[in-house]
Amino acid sequence: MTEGQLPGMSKSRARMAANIALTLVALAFVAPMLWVVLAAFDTRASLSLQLPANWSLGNFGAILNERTTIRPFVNSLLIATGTSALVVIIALFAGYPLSRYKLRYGTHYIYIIVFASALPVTAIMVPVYLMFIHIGMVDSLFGVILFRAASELPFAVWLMKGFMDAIPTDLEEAAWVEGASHFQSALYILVPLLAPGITTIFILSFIENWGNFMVPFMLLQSRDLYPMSVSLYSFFGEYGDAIYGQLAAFALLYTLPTMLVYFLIQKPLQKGGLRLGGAMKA
Amino acid sequence: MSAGVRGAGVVSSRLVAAISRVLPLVPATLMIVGFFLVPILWAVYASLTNQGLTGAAARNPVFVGLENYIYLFTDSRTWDALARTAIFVVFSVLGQNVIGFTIAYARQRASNLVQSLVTTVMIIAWVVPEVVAGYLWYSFLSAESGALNQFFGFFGIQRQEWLVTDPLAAVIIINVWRGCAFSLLIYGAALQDVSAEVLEAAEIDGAGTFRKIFGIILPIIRPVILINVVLTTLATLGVFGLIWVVTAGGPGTRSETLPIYMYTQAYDFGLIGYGSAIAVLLLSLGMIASLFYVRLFNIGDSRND
Repeated sequence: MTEGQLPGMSKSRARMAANIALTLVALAFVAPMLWVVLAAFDTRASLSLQLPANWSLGNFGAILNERTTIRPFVNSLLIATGTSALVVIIALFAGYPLSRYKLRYGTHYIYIIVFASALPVTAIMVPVYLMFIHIGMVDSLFGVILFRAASELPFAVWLMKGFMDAIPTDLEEAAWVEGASHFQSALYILVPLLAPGITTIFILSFIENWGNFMVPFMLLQSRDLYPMSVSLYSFFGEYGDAIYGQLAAFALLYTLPTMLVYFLIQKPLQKGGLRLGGAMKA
Repeated sequence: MSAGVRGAGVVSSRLVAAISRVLPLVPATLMIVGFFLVPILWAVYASLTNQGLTGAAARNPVFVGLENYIYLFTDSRTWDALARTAIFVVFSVLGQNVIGFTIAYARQRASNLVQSLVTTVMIIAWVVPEVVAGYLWYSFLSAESGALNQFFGFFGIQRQEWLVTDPLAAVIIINVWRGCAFSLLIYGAALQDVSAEVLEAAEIDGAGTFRKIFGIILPIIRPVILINVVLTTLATLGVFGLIWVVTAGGPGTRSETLPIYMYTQAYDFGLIGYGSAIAVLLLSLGMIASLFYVRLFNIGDSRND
């Protein structure tokens, strides 16, 4: 990035410098990822980075059974989709009055939401665990989903309100004149127009929940209920270095869905970057 | 019908209308109160007791006043954890913001291919689940034959157990690796909003890269920088899984931050009351940062557009 400092340096040479520098950066970012890809296809993998002597799917064969991979996969799917769906639905309801009505305490409500959305969830895990013991929700997938949803709601409600604010009320007003209720106009007019915003919130929440380790780690006890994050951790802890190849294969399978989901939203993210749903106002 | 009755009818129908307007807020409010407010109050309460995980202290916790806090603030382990948390947060936030901005800036000058290459790679690092990220780096940094030692071997640098050499620096680097993409996306969007004409005018006046960045771009995107710094601070303050998987706070306590300290006290040692006191300390730090965050938004104004 020295292009401006060297007088007379042409645009194409500046481009060349940027290309080389950024390629090096990309390589540095990719370097730690290489091991998992190679080790997954090497039944004799160690912690070192090496090309497999024999490329094989043996590691995948070894872990693709109900207990090791399938059940944790299903648990992860339940947690991630359940939480994301719950978050979207509750945020839709909450976003509506905040966006469409002039509520007396609306601004206060949003201040509280923004405040809550920024609090580190880590800090309330101990009391949440205590509370869950009291209400008998420890070691329950539903409990994990409920808490995950609650911890994401403040941000989601705020985002949803931002997305709703960006949609003009004209069409809904026309529907009210025709005798439609607020619920009908919201359901048939607003929600379809909100589809991109709803998708964004769902996907952000999905990626977050698919990857989350702390909450299920602290709230679940039965191995049968572990999602892939906790399963990967305990799997490694139990068998240690004997099966690095299988660990890598598991990690690869676990990462795949996030990658797929990410590529669904890649275009807008790369092009426009992140504007926090247009809700950011500074 | 008398005037009084009619008046009451108007009032009650107004009340019904008012209630129906806020009714959709009820589920979200219940969830937030139930899973944020109640646990926060519970943490404060539990931190004043000798609540345990098992045994008598689990069934019948006794009120102990400020005992947990006195112990907390006189134990050097707390201050060490606090200092490590500060180092972890400051360097993570600095790293993510500086690298994120620099790459967002340099990216504008690169070819399309390189642009999407660097963006994609960084976003992959961002969306990789944190436990996987932990294991990737665990192997990358491992002593005997990890990739980093293999690479440094070419230059004659001695093999070492990086997670022992400097565990805190290691988890900071891993956290920066994971978090850069977020800052890249935020600054990428902000840079698009900086008018090209202003920059061109500055170039014509002979401003170099340095002057353009510090004299023009950074002042223009200052609000975005502030928000992103606070946002990454808050995200970093709560990091648990990554450190837990890579070092579990060790060796010894050399990479023990407040969340790890809280976890080991509450779960491994079963000292829920003491763990709650650590939680309250962590929460207080989070609340201070969160207040800064809220102040950066003109929420009141946004209703008027």
